[in-house]
Amino acid sequence: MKRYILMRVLKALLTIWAVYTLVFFLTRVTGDPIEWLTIAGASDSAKETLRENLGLDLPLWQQYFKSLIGLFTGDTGTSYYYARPVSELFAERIGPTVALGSIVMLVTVLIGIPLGVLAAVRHNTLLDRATMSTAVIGSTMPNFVLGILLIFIFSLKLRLLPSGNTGTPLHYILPVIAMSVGPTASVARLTRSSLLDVIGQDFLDCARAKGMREWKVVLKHGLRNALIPVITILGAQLSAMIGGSVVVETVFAWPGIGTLIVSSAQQRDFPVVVFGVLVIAASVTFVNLLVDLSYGLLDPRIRNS
Amino acid sequence: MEKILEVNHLNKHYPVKKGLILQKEIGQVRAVNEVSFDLFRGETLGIIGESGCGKSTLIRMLIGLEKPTSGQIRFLGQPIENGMSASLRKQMQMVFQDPYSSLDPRMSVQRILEEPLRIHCKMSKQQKEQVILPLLGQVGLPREALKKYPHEFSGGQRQRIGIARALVLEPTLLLCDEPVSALDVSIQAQILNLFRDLQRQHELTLLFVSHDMSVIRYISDRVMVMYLGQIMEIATKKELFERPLHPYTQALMRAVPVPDPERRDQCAVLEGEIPSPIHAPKGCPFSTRCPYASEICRQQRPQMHRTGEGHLTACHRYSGEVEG
Repeated sequence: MKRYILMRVLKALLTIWAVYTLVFFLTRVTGDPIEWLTIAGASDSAKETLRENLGLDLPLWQQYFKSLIGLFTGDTGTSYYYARPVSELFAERIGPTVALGSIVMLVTVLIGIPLGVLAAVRHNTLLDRATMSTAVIGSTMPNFVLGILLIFIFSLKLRLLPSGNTGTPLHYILPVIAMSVGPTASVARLTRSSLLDVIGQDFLDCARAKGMREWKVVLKHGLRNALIPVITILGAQLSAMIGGSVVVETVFAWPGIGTLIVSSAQQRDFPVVVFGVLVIAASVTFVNLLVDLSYGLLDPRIRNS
Repeated sequence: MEKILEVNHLNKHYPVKKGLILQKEIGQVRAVNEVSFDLFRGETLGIIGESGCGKSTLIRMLIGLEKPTSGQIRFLGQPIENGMSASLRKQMQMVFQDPYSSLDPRMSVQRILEEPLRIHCKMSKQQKEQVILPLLGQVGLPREALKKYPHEFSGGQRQRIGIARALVLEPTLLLCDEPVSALDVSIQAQILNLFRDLQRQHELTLLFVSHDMSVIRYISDRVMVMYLGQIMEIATKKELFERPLHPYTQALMRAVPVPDPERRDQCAVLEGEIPSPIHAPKGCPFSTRCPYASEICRQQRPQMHRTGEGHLTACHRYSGEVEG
């Protein structure tokens, strides 16, 4: 088991490094940041000085190794645009992103799983069909489309809720709905089908025959066995959410790392973009690693092999 | 002898529905039809019949997993067709057919065996171990098995766990729904012997369902033959195997392969298929395949006739005898 974890961590690090390298070189293709940072008609010598100050005059491979070594020594580089350390910028912006993501995750788990259980227990009733057809619509609707729709209805037409930015708890409502509808629907659908598979098995009947209460039978023997695929999809949803937050944060002008990365990409602020993608890649790999390791806890059959 | 279980005119009918939204009932499956029998303390009643004849439905109604459409079940003198109290429930336990799906894969053997105690009695860890450890020995599993999970065992061993689980609460009656049919033949014998030993040690009454004649012949004291949800014949094992009276029972006996090439011609197989239970024959359920069927068989359902000491047969051919 230890060896397995070690191998997985090494693979995760390798993935993150590969993403970092790819993004580092890809950003350089988007254009020259000096054009963005100087006003039109600036003298060539001023541009050259700026280029030297930012370290952009060095050959590309030297820039790459400089930034890579910087990462290991804790130096994340300096933003071209804000002229501040990149780590500082992220420290300011990570709070709103994590807050939003945690609430979305909580909503997904607390609504998605009970909804799936209910649909499975009331299998083939009107409730089941209504829940599942809603879930299909929910899981197929892209979150940015839903976000724009929500802003249109609740902010523009009804003027009930703020359309963007943070401040009050009210600000959370629309982005949380936009981001959690898809994952909630997927989790509900998967919980239902996974639980239905388990519900047909004899050990549930056996628990009933022993005199166990029905809700306890479903939760203790049913749901615990049905959770493994649900955990997988939760992990996948969380990964997708970390990446997808870039889009939703832009729609809602949420002051998180998503908007920071998007605006920096537009401004060719390479150090910020590269570090931002690094953060996202690291979170996604970390979540996937956690999901894989959690299988062992959930299923004794995987634990021993 | 004390009657442990009395079953009177028990029926289970499932509606057959058609249509997507507005479902219309188009018929009924009579899974169990007018079944009546008694079970005495300490005996083993074997129930035999083809698949789909209502054996499992009957057992599931007895233990309360299905609600009867009509009829009475009395267990230890109390009516249980509408559910039973916890103290009564402890007295009836069940062993399932499939040892693979009847054990929760996420529970260790210890937790599987402790669970009935957790539901029914408040016990300390030591008290629970005092109950479980001797049982584990009796079903032939080592002490180390407690910490393991079901997937680490073979089919026969898993069925031993299932049997131990059913015995944890010291039940009076053990319902066995084809407990050996999922096992290899070599393992079947071991498990059958285990049932016999445990029955002696725990003074158990067994209701044993099987579709295997030799299994029923080995384990039973009395045998009940079912066909399309109805009882065809009940008799002591000796009587039934020596003097089968119902044409269906006779056909079952002839269908058992005899390991003797000289007697090959004696193995006769019934013509035709079991009728669909939705369109069950109006009279005797066996009339469509019975070589002796006459007009009355097709029109009228035969009553149970007493055809010997403790021998009841549902066939018009014995209508001259006293009604049972």
